[in-house]
Amino acid sequence: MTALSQTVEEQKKKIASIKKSNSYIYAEVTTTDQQQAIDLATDLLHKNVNEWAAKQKKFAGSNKIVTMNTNYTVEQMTMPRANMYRAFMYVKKSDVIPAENVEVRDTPTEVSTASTSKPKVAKVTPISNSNRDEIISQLLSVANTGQLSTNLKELKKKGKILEYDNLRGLKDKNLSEYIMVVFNKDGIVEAILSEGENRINLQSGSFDQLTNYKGRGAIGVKVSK
Amino acid sequence: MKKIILCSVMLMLATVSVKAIDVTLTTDEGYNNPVMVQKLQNNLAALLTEINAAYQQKRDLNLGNLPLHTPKEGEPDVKDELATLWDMTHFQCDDDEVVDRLWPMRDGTFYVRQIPMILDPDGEVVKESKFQEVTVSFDRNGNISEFRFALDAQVSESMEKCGNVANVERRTKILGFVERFRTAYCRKDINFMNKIFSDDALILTGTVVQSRPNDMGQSGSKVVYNRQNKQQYLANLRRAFARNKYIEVKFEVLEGECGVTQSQNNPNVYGVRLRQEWRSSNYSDDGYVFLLWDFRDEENPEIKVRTWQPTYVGSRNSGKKLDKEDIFGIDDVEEMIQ
Repeated sequence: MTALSQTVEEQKKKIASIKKSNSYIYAEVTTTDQQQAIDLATDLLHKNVNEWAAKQKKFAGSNKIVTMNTNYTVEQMTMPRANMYRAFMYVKKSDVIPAENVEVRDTPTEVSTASTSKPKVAKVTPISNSNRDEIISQLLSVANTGQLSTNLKELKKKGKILEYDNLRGLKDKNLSEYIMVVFNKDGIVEAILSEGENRINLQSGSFDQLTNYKGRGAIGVKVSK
Repeated sequence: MKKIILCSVMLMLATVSVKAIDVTLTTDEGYNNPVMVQKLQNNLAALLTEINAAYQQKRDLNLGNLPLHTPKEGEPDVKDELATLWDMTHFQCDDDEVVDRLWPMRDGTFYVRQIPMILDPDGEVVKESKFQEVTVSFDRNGNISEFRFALDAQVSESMEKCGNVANVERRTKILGFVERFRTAYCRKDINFMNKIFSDDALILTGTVVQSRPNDMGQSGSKVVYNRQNKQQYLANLRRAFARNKYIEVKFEVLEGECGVTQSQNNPNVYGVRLRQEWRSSNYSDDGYVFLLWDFRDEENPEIKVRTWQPTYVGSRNSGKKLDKEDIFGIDDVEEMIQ
C-alpha cells in the first residue's frame, strides 16, 4: 500500500506496528515546521542506528557500517496533529549491515510524505573501526573548544590519535587524512567533518565541507591506525 | 531486543462509551520486568482513557480512581497538576493506540515522553488546535507521579547531544526540570516558582530604551537591566498570572548550541540558555532566557539566576537583534554572583 492511498488512520496503525516490532529502528519528531521535523527525525534515526549498531556483536571489528535501504516515511497530518508535522523514519535492522572498505557515497535523503512515496533510498553512513568510533563518539560529545582541548590531550596521551593541530599547523599536511572539528569565534563546536576529499558531517550524516564554514576555526585530528 | 507487552485496557465508563486507549511500552534489552511494564501500561491507559472521556463529555477529570502517586511532604501532587492544567485548557490523546519507549531510571522510577495530545481550541485561550507532547513519570510502584508538557523536539534533542556536559541521568533531570519550569508558567503555579527559585536568586530583566532624538532627529536604543530579588519577581509573576487567562511559554535552543553548559567552578551547577516565546492573553514577547541551575541537591534543584534579554534591540521592524556575544552565558552570570 502506498503512502498516497493511506488514510491518516492507516498510517498511524502502520507506524504503531513498526514501533512495536523488534525488526525496526525508528525516530519520530513532531514540530511546527515540516523540514525541521524531517531533519530532526533524520538526526535521531542516525543516532539510534549508531547506538543499536554499537551494541551488535556482528559489527565488532568491522571498519565500516553501511546503512542500506533505509525507508524514510514522513507523515503530514495537519488535522490529527493540529498545525504540526509528524516525521516518522525507520530502518529495518536487517538492512543495517557491516561492510569493509566501502567507498562512502551519500545520496540526498529522500522522504515520502502523505502525497509522495520514495522508499528504499540507499544511504551510506560511515562509522569506521572501533578506535575511530570511540574517538568520533568522544568528539561528537564535545560542545566547546575547552572540552575539545581536554579530550584531545587525553586521546593523544593514550595513543588513540596520532596528532592534532589547527589549520595553520597543518599547512603542509594532507588535510584529507584529518577529521575536522569546526568551531565559531565563541569556541562553540559547530561541526565535525569526516576525513576524505568529500567529507561527511558526522552529526547530520550529509555531505559537508570546510568551505561551508568561512570565518570559523578548525582543528584537524588524525586517528591512529 | 526490545521486549514488548501489549496492553488493552477496556474501561467501562459509566456514561457515554469512550474508546479505551491501548498503550504499549517498549523497553531496551536488559530491562526484564514484564509485570511492572504491564502495570505501567495499564495505569497510563487508564489515565489517557479518562482524559479522553472527560474531554468528550466536557467535564472535569475524575481522578479519584486513577493510580496516582500519593505525594510525600514537599513533593508535587500529580492530582493538582492535572486538575490545574485541565482548568487552563482541555486536551485529548490524539492516538487510540499509543506506543512509546519506556525509560527506567536508576532510582527505580520510570518515564515516557512522547504522549501525543491535542489542546482544545476554545476560541479564547487556545485559538486553534495545538499539538503538544506530554511527559508522564511513574514512581517505583508504577503509580503516575507527574504529568507535564514536554519541551519541543528541537530542545530535547539538542539537550541530548550535550554529551560530556552531563551524563545521561543528569541530562534527563535537567530536561525534566526545564519541562516542569515551562509547565509551571502554563499552570500559573506560583508555588512551584517559589520552590524552584533560590531564596537569594538574582533576576535580571532587560528592557529596550530609546534615547531622545538628537538635533538630527536620530535616536538610538539600548538594553538596560532591571535587577529583582526573588520576592519582587514572584510578586510581578503573581500579577501576570492574575491578569492573563492563559500563558504559553515556548523554548528553543539557540542555533549551534545544545542549550546546557556546565560550570567550571562547580560540576553540579549548569547553565541553560534558550530562546523564549512568551504568549499570553494580553502580552507577548520574544527573548533569550538564561537559567543557572544548582543541582547540588539533585531532587530539589534551585534556580540561582534567571536573566531575560529581548531578541530585538529597538523595534522588531528595525530587525536589529541582540548580538549573540551579548546574550548572557554561564561565565557572565557566575561572575555576577561571586
